[in-house]
Amino acid sequence: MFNPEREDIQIICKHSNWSKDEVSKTLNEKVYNNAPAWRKFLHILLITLGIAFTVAGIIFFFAYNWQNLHKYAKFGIVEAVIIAITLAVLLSKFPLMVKNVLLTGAAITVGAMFAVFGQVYHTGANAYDFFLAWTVFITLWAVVSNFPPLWLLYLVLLNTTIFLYGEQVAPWSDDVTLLLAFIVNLVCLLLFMVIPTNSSIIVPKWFRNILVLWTAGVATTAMCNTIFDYQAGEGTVFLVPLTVAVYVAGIIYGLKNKSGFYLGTIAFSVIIIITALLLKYSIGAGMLLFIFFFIVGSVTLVIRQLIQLQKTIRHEN
Amino acid sequence: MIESLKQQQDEGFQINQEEVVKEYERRYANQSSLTIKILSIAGGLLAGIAFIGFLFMFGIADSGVALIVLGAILVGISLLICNTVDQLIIDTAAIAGFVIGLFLIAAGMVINDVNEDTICFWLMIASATSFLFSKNAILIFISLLAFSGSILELIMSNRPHEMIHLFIAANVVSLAYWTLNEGKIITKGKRFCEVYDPVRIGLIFSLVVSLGITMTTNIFMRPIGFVWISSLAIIPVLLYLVKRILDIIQVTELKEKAVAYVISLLVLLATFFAPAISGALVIMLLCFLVNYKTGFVVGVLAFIYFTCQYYYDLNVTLLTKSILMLASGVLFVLFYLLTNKKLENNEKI
Repeated sequence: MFNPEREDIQIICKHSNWSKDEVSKTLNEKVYNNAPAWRKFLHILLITLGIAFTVAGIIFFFAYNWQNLHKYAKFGIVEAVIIAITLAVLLSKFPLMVKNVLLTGAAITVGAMFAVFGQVYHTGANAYDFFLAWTVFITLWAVVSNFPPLWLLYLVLLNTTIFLYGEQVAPWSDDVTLLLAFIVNLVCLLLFMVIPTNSSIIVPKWFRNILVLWTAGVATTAMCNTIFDYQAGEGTVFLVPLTVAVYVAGIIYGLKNKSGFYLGTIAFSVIIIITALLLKYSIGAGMLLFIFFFIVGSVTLVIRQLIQLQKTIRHEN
Repeated sequence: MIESLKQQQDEGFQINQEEVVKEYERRYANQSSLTIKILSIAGGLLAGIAFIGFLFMFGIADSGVALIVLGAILVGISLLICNTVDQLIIDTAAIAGFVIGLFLIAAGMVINDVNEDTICFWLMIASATSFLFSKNAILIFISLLAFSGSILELIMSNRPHEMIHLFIAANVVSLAYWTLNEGKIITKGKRFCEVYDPVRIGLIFSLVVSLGITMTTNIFMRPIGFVWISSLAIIPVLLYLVKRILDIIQVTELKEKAVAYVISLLVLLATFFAPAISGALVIMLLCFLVNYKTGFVVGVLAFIYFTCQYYYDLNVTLLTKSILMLASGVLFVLFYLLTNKKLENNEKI
């Protein structure tokens, strides 16, 4: 069978007199999306747009804060919407994908409900407790849904809660907040990683990669914060060994699973942290030149190792 | 694979197998992943910042002429290295050199009080030349971005700003042409094969940036009028895409076609004064059509961002916004239910 990918077609084109009609035909048949893919895509696009706009409309409606509307009417409307959507998820015969989109819409509407609560009883819409309540009350849905976009929403809320708590209420300094965020995200990541591949819960690669990038980003920020903050607080004692341990574990995991993504992310984070250390030491012309060579050299080295890794993967296959 | 291809083709078909094998070996040795590409670009940019910092601390930056000369040399060396040493590992160094070079040329002219338009003009020449001579995909991509960035800056620093609509129109049409005629373009010659991928992603990024400018008129204090002019170019492209999609999913009945066009026109009219939204939609549909994932993700992100920004900036009361959104939400759900049956019926056949 002749089943080329886009790259194969390009290579053959470069060194043959393959006619343009034949190439177009091959691309159409073998590479481009076909009718079933389009139908699925249009399905998802329409229902996502529909739910997203409806939910956004509901949120804006309450943001308008209609004075003449009695508070019970407000609660009544928003709760009725949540119940209606949830019932549609439980009782309708929609495909699973649509039900998941609906459930995500319901999860966002729960946020609107707590916002109305804050509006009526003047608890302040920005405070961390608003996000905390929102996060807590959609936890169950996030767990049972098996739907990565809803997980993503959940993680965003979780992180917002932590950072707002650290900023508004917490008795500790920034480094502890960052440490806390690092640990929480790390635990989530580990939970998603221990899910066996043959279970009914499918964790897509893009989702796990976003979580890896975000966790590494928080760790990098925390480390840089520790480096530049002259009054490094109680978080530092735990942060440094924890980061080292996690990175070492990540590298071992990456090597074992031949994942260039893990290795590349951790290596880049380490390069940034070392650069921060160098900058803390001096910001003179000589140091900047040294940093330039350091970054070019280390990134080049990392890329060389990654290419090497890819070759061994190819050899094994 | 080549053998099965040969069997399918007629007798005039010729292929240089030796070269094909060589190319596979070369790509095999230099096989790049998205991680590696992003790593080399990010590393190159960081290193570039450090080097520029060094130049300013060291005092070289006092002399404009020195900066321009140094910049030109760096651009030249980067291109030369990339074209002679075909190794993935020097990408970071070359990208750093290239970006620093372009920046130094511009910075040197700013120090020498060269007029802004002239700077843009020279940057256009520098990036166009690099585009023509580079064989490296990432450098082609960067020079395309630098080129369209200079044009955009030229438009925005002069009047009328409305010229940007011409830029957007040209960008949308060329992106659509480039994406939809892949077979035709890559059979034109080796050079077209080389530049095809970087030009496609470059056009996508340049379109997103220019569309973004039309949305942020208040930020730069450079109001752009007649926003709808861009829509005049985008809407025909979108309608053509709708036609292509209807062909693919085999909608043949006149009534169904009419319904599809009416729905599309309704959506398009709603975005008539927000070409950024329909422009992002063009990127999404085009990339999905040719199964180009990176571009598709960029389109989706741009679409979400532009839609949010549009409603945020919209100068009406929250209640009106709410009604507008509820209405469009309900409309989309109705479209879904309406097309649901049709789409599912087709699946069974």
